[in-house]
This record gives sequence, structure tokens and C-alpha cells, in this order.
Amino acid sequence: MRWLGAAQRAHDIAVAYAQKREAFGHPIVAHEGIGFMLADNEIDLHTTRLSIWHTAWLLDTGERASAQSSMVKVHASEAIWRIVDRCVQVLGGMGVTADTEVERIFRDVRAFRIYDGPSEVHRWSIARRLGRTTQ
Amino acid sequence: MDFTLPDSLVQLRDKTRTFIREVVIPYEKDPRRTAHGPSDELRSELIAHARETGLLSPHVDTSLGGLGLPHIGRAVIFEAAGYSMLGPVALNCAAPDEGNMHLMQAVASTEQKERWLKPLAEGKTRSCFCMTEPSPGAGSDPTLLKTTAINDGDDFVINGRKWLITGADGAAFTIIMARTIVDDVDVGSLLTCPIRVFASNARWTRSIHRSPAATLKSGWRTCGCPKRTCLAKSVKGFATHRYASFRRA
Repeated sequence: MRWLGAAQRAHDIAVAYAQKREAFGHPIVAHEGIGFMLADNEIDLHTTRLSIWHTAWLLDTGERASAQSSMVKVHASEAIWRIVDRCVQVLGGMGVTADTEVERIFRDVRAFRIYDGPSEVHRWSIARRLGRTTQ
Repeated sequence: MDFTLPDSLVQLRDKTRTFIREVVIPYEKDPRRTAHGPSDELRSELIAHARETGLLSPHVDTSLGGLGLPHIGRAVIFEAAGYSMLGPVALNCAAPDEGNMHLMQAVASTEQKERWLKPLAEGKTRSCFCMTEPSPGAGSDPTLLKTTAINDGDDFVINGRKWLITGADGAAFTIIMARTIVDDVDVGSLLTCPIRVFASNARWTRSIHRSPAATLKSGWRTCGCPKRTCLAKSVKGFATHRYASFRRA
């Protein structure tokens, strides 16, 4: 939720940069190496937003949504990490300086995969549920 | 399946986006934004702006001055707030306060809400959550919990060592996870406690991230904690699944 907003911000900064920065005769967004990274960002933003909304909707209907909460926590934290990491890459050397907000977001977002249950604990919980399920 | 957001939520989202863009983002270059987040002065200034705009505490019940949003509303508004790293601070929905407010709304007594939750929801105080312990205490495995809270007359005496406590510096109170021994029976519990019990023997450590405050490592402390500060709900033991559901209660 909050981190998704931060990832969207980093993505918007990276897109704006890729539109105006030129290399080899084109804006860098026209090079697939860059354009595909930004396309992957769009995919991660979209799927993360949808899975958050679905879990929120379940909770609002009174469901406990334990499994969905675990899944969306892992998915969101890892997708957001990928998005912000790609933004740093698109910005090149500037990505690792404090000249844009992306560097600050990049530092902060790493902890999201650890606190509120690291990815491994949530995966453990999902797998344990699978172990109990009768097929 | 209908993914249409209610008109009122769309309006609130747009209002939040405008607030973040026009009021909050200009503060990102403010020198009071330190390596560990905004100073308390800057935080108060941001909160005053959100209060004035009618955006403070979107996750809190209207009876406590919040916007009373359901989960879907929180998902939308928190994302809009997160567009600036200072946004959740301004709206008073940053970690760890937001989770503590959510928990206390669910389990705290009227007296506890008045004493701890109300000033927190109004953005007048900050809080923290003491969970993780150094080895051999609890980390990802809450069954290893070593901190105890033993009833002694009207008090709980807390004994334990906690670390990695985000926001401890300047927090008005903490919620502590402890084995709560009531009349010699071990029941798991969460207790609210004034943070000054941790004021001495604290060690600070730098963290990679820059959330509103640094990490605190506190040494062994013993404190008398009035019984009424114990959060209402208690669970037997700390099996992971019980703990997980408890945190989201």
C-alpha cells in the first residue's frame, strides 16, 4: 500500500528520465533493454495493486484472509523491490545518487522483505497449509 | 466482479494526491528531513497540514478523529500517501504507529484507548512495538519468547531484552510482547508501557533504511507496569499462527 505508492513514484521518475535521455540516436525508452524493464515495472505495479485490493476486499467482507495476506505480503515486497531496483538501473549513475528520490526509496524498501514476517516465514506458512491439505 | 471504487473514495484519493504533490513533496528537500526521517518538528508541521486538509489518520475510527476507512479505502489512500516517503508521516499512517493503532482499536479497553490511542490517533504522540529479542530469544519464531511479565499485586513486572525497535527514540509508549505469568499460569500477552522504562541502557544502531527513527537495542530492564496497561486480549502460548492472527486482530 504505502510502498506501492513509493514504487509508483520511483517508476514515474524513471519513465520521465527514459523519455528525455538520449543514447545511440534515440530516447533510451526506445531501446528494448530499457523499455522492457519499464514494461516489467508496469506489470509488477498492476499485479501488486490488484492483489492488495483483492485481499482488502476479502477483509472487508469479514474473511480472515490469512493465506491471501501471506501471499500478497511476499508478492508485494518482492515485486516492489524489483521495480525500484530496475528504476535505479534505468537512471544509471544518477540512480545511486541523492539527486532523485529513487535512491532514498531504494534504501528504504529493502526492509519490507524482512519485517512483518520475512518472505521465508510467509512461504513456510503457505507451504505448511499445503502439507495439511487433502488432495 | 466490479473493480469500480466508490465516488467518495475516488474524491478522497484525488484530494490525497493533490495534497502529496502540492504540500508534502516540497518538504522532501527540507533540511529537517534527516538520515533517519523527519525531525519531530517537521513531523508535527506535516501532521498539522494533513489535519487542516482533513486527511489525518485515514485508518482510525471516526469516533477517535480519523476517517474510518475500511481496508479497501486504506489500500487506496495509503498508496496515494506513499507517493512521497513523507506522506504516511503527514497522514499519521506510517509504521509502526499505524499497526499499533489498528491493534489497539481492536483489543484495547476504553481506558487504554483514552490514555494511549487517542493522543496517538490525533498525531500528538508516537509509539513503538517491542517484539524481537536477541538470541536465544524470539525472532521469526515467537515460541522462543523470553521476556516475561509477572503479576505482582497491581503491577506486571517486565523482565526482558528487546531490540530492533523502530521509532523507539521519542516514542510516548511501547507495546511489548511478553510471556505473561498470571497467578503462575503462562498466558501470552501484549502490554502497553511508557517508553521511559527503556530510557537507560539503550544502544543505537544505524540502519540501511531511513524510516522515522533508528533502531534501538535495549538491555535487560525490569519495570513495574500497572495491570490495567495490559492489552485486553491474551492468547495461550505464541504458536506462530496464533500470533499472526493476533497481530492482525
